[in-house]
This record gives sequence, structure tokens and C-alpha cells, in this order.
Amino acid sequence: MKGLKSVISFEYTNIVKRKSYIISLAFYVVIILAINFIPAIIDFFSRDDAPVGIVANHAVILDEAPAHNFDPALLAEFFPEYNWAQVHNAQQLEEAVISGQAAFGLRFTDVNNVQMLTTDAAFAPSPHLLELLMREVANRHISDIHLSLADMDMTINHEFVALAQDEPLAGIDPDMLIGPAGSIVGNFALIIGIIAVMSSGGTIMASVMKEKTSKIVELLFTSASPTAIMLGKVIASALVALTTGIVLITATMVIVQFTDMGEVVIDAGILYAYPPILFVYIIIFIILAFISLSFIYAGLAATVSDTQESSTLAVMPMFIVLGAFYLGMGMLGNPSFISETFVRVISFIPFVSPFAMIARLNTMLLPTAEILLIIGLNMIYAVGAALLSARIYRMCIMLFGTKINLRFLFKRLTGR
Amino acid sequence: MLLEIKNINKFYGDNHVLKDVSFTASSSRTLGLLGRNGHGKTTCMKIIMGIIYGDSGEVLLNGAPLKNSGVKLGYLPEERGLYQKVQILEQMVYFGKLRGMSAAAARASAAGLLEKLGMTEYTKKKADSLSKGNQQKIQLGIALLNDPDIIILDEPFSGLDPVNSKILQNLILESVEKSKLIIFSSHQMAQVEEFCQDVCLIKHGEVKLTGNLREIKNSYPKDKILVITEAGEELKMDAPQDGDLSQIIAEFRQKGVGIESISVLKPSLLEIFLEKVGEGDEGA
Repeated sequence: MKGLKSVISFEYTNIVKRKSYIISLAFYVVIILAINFIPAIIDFFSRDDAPVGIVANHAVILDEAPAHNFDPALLAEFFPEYNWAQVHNAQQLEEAVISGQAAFGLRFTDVNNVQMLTTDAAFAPSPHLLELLMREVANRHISDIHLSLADMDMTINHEFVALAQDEPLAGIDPDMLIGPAGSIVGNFALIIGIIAVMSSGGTIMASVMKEKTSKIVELLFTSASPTAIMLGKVIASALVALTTGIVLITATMVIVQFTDMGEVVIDAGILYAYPPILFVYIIIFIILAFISLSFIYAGLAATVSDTQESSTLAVMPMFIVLGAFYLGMGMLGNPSFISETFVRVISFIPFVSPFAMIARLNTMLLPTAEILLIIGLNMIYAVGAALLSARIYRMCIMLFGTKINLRFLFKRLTGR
Repeated sequence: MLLEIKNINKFYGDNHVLKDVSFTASSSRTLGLLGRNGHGKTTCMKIIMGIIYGDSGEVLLNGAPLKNSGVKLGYLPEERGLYQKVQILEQMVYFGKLRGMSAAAARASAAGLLEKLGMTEYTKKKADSLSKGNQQKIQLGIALLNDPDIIILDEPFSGLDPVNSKILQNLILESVEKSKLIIFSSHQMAQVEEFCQDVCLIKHGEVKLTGNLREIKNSYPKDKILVITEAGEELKMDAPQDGDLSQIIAEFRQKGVGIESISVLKPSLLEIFLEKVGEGDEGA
């Protein structure tokens, strides 16, 4: 498409070079830094410096999830075969295991996850302990247990438990397979999705409005097609979102590396059992939501003549997006609360569909054919939104000064 | 190159803004599009540029539709618009690239035009730091960036001081010498007379007058005569329709006023314009 590459490059450069963008990005990095340092600061002031009782060849426990019941005293009561001791951070745990002070270490990274560390190739958890851990998994208190043994890695998850208990996998509640990881990933994806759509929508609306009011658009139209201009803006906006994401993730990783505090987050282990294909689907749905709604925002911006009007009009897609977002959040919070038929139906509705699908993918097993069908439909919606918006854009931009209402718009679009 | 605008009609809602508009323009010549504000000049230019479509009619280049003819077009819109926060050279290169130029070619062309426009020192400046007149010059530079074959300029001289106006005139004349086809609208009749070989006068969306400017002036029935009396007084009056001056001479003799000289004056474009588009017409 003629001029598309130039529009993308120009729009992208224009946004990322803006002082407001650089300042807000720097602000986000500072926020991440603060978030990473807060636990360290709290820990620093609340740390108990009393010596940690680690007995040679005995187990240690790192309790990073105070909500559960695995405190050393309780463990000692149930598993007298081990002499339990508690450490205060991951480094102490690793040192105890590596130095041989402890036969193995159990690390409760949060209420749902346990890591087992050992350097002893011959080590195996006692049947007593293994049974308990498996029961915790089966009862959904823990989503998976990652055993990092000296020469092998093993994950105890629902599937493992089902096999160990000779139960068919089909008999397991499907959402158990995704479990708490699904809730976390789903919530995160919905938040990322809504932030991306709303911030990009605002940027695109402002850009279209500016070109319209400054009349640059007349020059643009003599140089490239309206579709190329709009598509360029949307792609540039997506690239800006990607740049922001890369900068923030990199900053997080660097900060984690230097502070050692984010290890809990990175090493949480909660995602071990999360199917990678779901990540792919979720990214696709976020991108499709982003593209479709960005086009709608651009089309809407073209119909108005000033910033105040555009803000008013922006409320309409915002309601759709927020409605879909809260619906998704509701589904993730309580999957059984919403009727399956209802969520299936809304999975086919344009613009709401990606959000509904993000929630569905993380709460229930869906047939691959249905997922692919909805992805295909969303692609069609995105193309439809692009074509419709390009038409509105071209028509309304050139009628600057004319009062445009829905009736007028409909008549013009249908050629009546 | 022959550009034919044939029977163009355009409606904005119920408002019939162009009514069967037809005229022609050819390369190495400049056509002045004249008319009062709101009478359809800009709409006509936008239709030629393909920014908007006419409801009926055709725009032909050498007998074939102009659209997709591959000919390069340059346009200076009536409304001046630039990216206010973007450097001048950067935005010129952007528009060059949009029109299919390589970045290097666009940069070279932009640098050359900035030099001709006397604006080299503004290369790295942002548009919002430039005066209105200078922004207008940049826009003309953008219009000429890809060496277009057809150049359409909507009110190119409005708001320019005489020095900048002269710079623009030179640039337009240079384009005429390079066999470009130029159409421009203007309210400044003196400039139109100076530049244009052809004119098209539009009133309320209808073409009232079109063709070669000299022929129009020659054929225009309302010549003036200039009488210089022996006392040195200059008197201007309408020439008789039959061209016979003897009756006027007789009237002067009767009043006892001696005549030094008497000459016939062709009407100015301004006079034709005022006559055709109408004094006392409120316009749109």
C-alpha cells in the first residue's frame, strides 16, 4: 500500500520523540523501581536477624506466602522424619541446599506454588511428604510443585496427580488444569488489553483531530490513500505500545537483576503449568482488540470538529471496552457465576469478543476449532472496522465545518 | 498535456455547489480560477486533485481519466496546515516519501526548494516557530517537492508580503518555463493578469466566463475610452457600443473643450470580474 511505510515511520517517530511520552515512560520505570524496592525496604526494617536454625542434612523451608499452613512447627509435627528450619530469603535457602546443610529446600513462592530444591541426585521426597504435596495439588491449594532435582526436573501438577491416582484426566474439572495461573494470566491480559486500547485510542483520536483541524489532511490525501494513512496510524500506535512494553519489561528485568528482589516474581513458578498455546491465543486477541478498536476511535475522531466533541464521543467505545473488561474480570473471578451459553454468545460479538475470549481461555477448556473460528471472525471485524473507518475518515474529513449527525452519516455511507 | 474538466456537478446535501462546470487547461500555460469566496473554486480544485469526488462529470487528461493516469500532482490547499511540532525538513521529506520519492531524493529536493524560497536557515526549525507567510512558502515547497506535472495552487499569494509574493511568483514562472500545467485561484486580479494566459470565472458554481484571457478582453464589449483634454485633464468613460467615437468628439466640441488625444482602453480583468460576478451580489 503506497505510503504506508512512511506513515508508520513518521507517526511512530513523532510519538516516541515527544517529551510527554519520554517523561511518562520514565515515570513508569520509576514506579516499577519503587514497586521492586518497597518489599526490600519493608523486609529491611522487619527482618529478624536471629540465626536461622539449619541442621545438617535436614530440610529447610522458605515461607514467602504467609497465608498457608506450612510453617516449620506444623511440618515438624506431620513430618518428623525431617528436622525443619526456616530461612528468610531465597539466597539463604539456596546456600543451605548447595552447601549440603539441608537435604532439600521447600520454597513456597506464594499460596499456590512450591519449589523443591536439592543437589542430592539420590534424593526423593519421603512418600509421606509426596502424598501431602499431591493432596495439596489435588485440593487446588497448590497449582504445581516444581522439583528441581540434581539431574532431573519434575513438575507435580493436576495432571500428574490424576495419573498418580489412576484417575482419568477427563474426570478433572477443566479449570483445574489452568487453575490459579489462569486467573493471574487472564487478569493481567485484560488489564494490558484495556490499557493498550484506551491509551492508543486517545493517541489516535488526538492525531486524527489535529490533522483535521490543521487541514494537513488535505495534503495527506493528495499523497496517500485514507486507508494507508489510517492503517499507518494504527500500526504506529501498536509499535509504540510494543516499545513501551519492551522498555518496561527490560527495566523490570534490569531492576530485578540488581535488586534481587524480583526473584520472587520471576521465579514464582506459577506459570510452569500454564499451556504456552494459551499465551499465543491471548496475544492474538489483545492485538485484534487493539486494532479493531483503534480503527473505531480513528473513525469517530473524523466525525467531530473539536476536542471537546471527540472526548464526548470517545465515551461510546469506552463503555463497550469497559463492559467487556468487567465481564472478563467477573468471569475470571467466578467462572461458574456466568452462564456458559451467554459467554459463548458474547464471544462472537465484535469488539467485546477479544475480552470475553481472554477470560474464557483462562477459565475453561475450549475446542481449538472454536478458538480459531473466533480468531478468524475477529480478523474479519478488524478488516471491516478498518474499511468502515477509512470511509468515514475520508468522507468526514472533507466535510469539515458541516454538521454531521448519525442520520447524515448513514445516508452518506450507504450512498442514499 | 490537456486537462479537461467536463460537466462537473457537486452537491453538499441539498446545496448544488458546482453546476455543470467545464473548462480546459494546458501545459506551459497558467489558468486563473476566479470567483468570489464560496462560489466553488476550492471544491473544483479538490475534485481535480481527487480529494473529493464530483457527483457527475469527468476530469480528463489528454482524453483519459486523470485518476490513475500516473501524472504527478502538486497541490497548495487554501487552508494552510503543517505539523506544528515537526522540523521543516523532516515534514517535507515525509510528504516526498508519501509521494513515492526515496528519502534521499526527497531530502535533496526539499533542500533545493528551501534555498529557492530563501528559507535554508529554517531547515531544522519547527513549523510553529515560523511566521504565517513562511509557513505558506513551506507549503508551496511541499506542493512542488516531487516536481509535479500539474500544479494546483489555491490562493497562493494571500497573506504574503511583496517580497515573499515575488519569490513565489518566480517559482511559479519557473514551473511554467518547465512546461508545467498550472491552475491557481486568486483574488488579486493584477497577479492573474500578469501570470495567466487563461481564466475561468465561476459564480455560484457556474462557469460564467472561460478561455484565453487576451481573447476575452478583446471580445469584451465594454471598452473604455480615455480622453485627454487640452487642459491636461484625463477623462475615462464607456466606449460607444458601435465603436464610433465621432459623437463623443462632437459632444466635447459642443461644450467647448479641446481634445488633446483620445484612445480606446481594453477592460481590465478586475472590471470584467466585477461585471461578471456582480457588484451587490452577496455571494455564498
